Amino acid sequence: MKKYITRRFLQLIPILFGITFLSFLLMNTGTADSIDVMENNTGGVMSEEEKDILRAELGLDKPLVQQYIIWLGKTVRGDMGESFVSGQPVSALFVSKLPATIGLMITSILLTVFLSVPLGILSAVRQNRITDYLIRFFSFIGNSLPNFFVSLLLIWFFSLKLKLLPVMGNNAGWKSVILPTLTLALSMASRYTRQVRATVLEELNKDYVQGARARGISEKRILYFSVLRASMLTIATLLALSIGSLLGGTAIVESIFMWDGVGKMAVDAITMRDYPVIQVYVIWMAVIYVCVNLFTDMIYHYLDPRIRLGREDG
Amino acid sequence: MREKQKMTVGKQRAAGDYIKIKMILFGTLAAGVILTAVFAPYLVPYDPYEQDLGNALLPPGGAHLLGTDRYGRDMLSRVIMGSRTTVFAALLLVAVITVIGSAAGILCGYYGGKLDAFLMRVSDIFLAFPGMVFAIAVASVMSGGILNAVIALACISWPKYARVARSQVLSIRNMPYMAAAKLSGSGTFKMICRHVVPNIAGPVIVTAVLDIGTMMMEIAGLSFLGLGAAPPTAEWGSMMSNGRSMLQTSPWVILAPGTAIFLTVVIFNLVGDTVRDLLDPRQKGR
Amino acid sequence: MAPLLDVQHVDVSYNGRAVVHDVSFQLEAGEILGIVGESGSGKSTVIRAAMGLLGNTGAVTRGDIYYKGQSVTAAGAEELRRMRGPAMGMIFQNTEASLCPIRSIGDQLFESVCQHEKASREEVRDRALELFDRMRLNDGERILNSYPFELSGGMNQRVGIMMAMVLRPALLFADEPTSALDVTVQAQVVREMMKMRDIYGTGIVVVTHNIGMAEYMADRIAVMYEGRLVEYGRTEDLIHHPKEAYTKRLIGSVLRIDRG
Repeated sequence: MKKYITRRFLQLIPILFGITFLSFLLMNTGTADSIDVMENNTGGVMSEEEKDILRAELGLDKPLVQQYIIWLGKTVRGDMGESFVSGQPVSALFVSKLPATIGLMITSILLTVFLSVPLGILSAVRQNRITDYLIRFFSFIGNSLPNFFVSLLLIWFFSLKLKLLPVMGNNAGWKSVILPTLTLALSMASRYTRQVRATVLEELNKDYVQGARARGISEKRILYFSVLRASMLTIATLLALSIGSLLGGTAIVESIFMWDGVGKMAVDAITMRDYPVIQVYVIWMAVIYVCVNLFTDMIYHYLDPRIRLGREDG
Repeated sequence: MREKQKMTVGKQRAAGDYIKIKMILFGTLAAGVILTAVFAPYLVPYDPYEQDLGNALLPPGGAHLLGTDRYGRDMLSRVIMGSRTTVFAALLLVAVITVIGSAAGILCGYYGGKLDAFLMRVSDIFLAFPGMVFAIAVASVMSGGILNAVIALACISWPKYARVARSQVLSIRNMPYMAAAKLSGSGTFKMICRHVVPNIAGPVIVTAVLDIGTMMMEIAGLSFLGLGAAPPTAEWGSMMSNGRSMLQTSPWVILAPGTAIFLTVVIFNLVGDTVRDLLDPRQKGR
Repeated sequence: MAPLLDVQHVDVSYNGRAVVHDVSFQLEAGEILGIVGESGSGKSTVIRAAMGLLGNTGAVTRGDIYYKGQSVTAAGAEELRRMRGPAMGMIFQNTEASLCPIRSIGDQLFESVCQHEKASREEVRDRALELFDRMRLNDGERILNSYPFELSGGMNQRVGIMMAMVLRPALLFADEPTSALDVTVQAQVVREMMKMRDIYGTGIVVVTHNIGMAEYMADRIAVMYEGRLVEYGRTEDLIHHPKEAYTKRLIGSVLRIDRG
């Protein structure tokens, strides 16, 4: 088991390099480089020679790989550059906005699990009966609605028509978190319910279920004590994968609801071509995602006795 | 109890025909959407780009079935025209990642070794980025435009196909007929075409068709953020973004394109589900 | 007195397709019946029908099955569930697959017993150890604390026997109990099953494709082919004086080492 953990951590390193290099590459091979953007934003006009001097100053004329290494060195020390727009150091900016996003993510995940797991199990157990069809129908609909449409619909209905909830911002306390959470949760839950259903169905079709029936064990017991325990591992792993789309979804939802998190920060940065901000967002979201996956993987391997006790399974 | 079981048994026999009916029905609907996109310029009642500020923000009804937007442009025409961008871009995107991803996957599965390890590492790195995050990054760097949005989405989506293709190839690599073909002296490329591709086509096609709806939503999402189609192009996502401020006063400006996205995605998702049931009935669960 | 198991002119269908036609046989208490046939002959289907384990897709479409005179085909789901375990037990071809992979054997054993009677963990453990003892297994404790994947095939099959017998059913079904085992282990498992009959008087229905094994174990043999009963009779009669061509072929296909 220890060997497994060390192996996974070691695998993390090339991926981290890959992430940072790819992001660096992206941000620095755009058609406009930072000098041009600075020029745009400050409204001034500079001649090519002046720009070249600036570039040499900032080390932008060195070969790409060398730039990357210099940049990586600075990053590791916490210096990820400054915003083109505000001049603020971007890592500090990111850290200040992160809690809002994490809060939103936590509420969304909780609501999703609360909805999807019971509904998915119910759908699997009552396979092909009315309950199953209803649940599948609603998750199908939810799956076909883009999250920006859902947010607008929710705003229209709850904020504008019914005047129940605030339209935007995160300063109305718990009330303002409802609509964004609902939006994210509905999208996530639609997909996740189907996955829970498929997992439970797969377990239900396994031989040990028939074995248990042959021993006269009640369907309820089989479900709660054997099938669900076996399904939980897969369900937890699938949740980690869903977090990936959640991380992406926050960008749009935060932007619509003016929720002051890193997603909104990134979307705002896009319109301003504020590359350092976009870069820190992309890198950190990727790192968070990779860590979440790693963590889930390790928990999975710990909880499954087949793997914990030494036999590599699948 | 015996009677009830007989009934269930009879119902199941009809399931096979049921799938065929569904396929024809949904396939026709999907074809309808695609044809609308193809013939859009001929189907629009008004010029989608013609502004008529005097008639701005008219509610649905009368001369304008879906109302007009803030520039007086006919919503119905813009929605019909908008189908081109969404539908074509999504289909193009899915086609590209299917071909590239499968090719990569086949190479990995077939040759194994260093190539496999390398490509899988590369795909791991792309997979490390949460979907939209990467698409946002790439699309913003490439300064917008629908083609760049497609490229961005392609970069993060190909690994999924590579994995599907690769695992399929791995599972058939040791099958007797592969060894037989090799012994009979088949060239590598011929062998791949004749033996590998048909046998892995099933899951790959299922993944692709199921992805069309998702890709449409992602393209619309990027456009919504301003990273896809640029104005005045009629595109459902950007139309919705432009209409945000008028949500309370003129909701049809948002509802029309939104419903269009929804219905189109529903149709393609239905097609996708049916294709999956057709090609892999085991997956549906008994 | 009604026979322990009475199968009368039974048809079984899956998804509308009949896989078993007009099968009849009886089993008395303490008897061993061997149902012999190749894959697809319907032999496993018959015993699943007898236990009510056909699932949503299968049904007995004609005839009846009686356990001690009580109809199994007409019984309700809950009634059947109560019979499975204390009245009828099953040993599967792959016991490991018939057990939940992430729970210990002892855990699942305790669950099986407690569904049908009140017993403490110690009582259940003692009963299991006693059964292991009869099978000449010494480290019963270790087995109970293990997960199914940690045990060998032969060990798993013995666990299957133990778990089926712990509730002392009068009737035991064994679905190809030794097919997945090495030859040397097969003999041991077969002998253990016969011992159960000797000690506890259990009636056993063994499904197998190996007519040699049926000859060794069974008092009566039923030969099945493509869902139909080809021949049925006492072992000595059937083996030495087979009437049907298929039976003769089955017997002839058993490799015997001729010494001298």
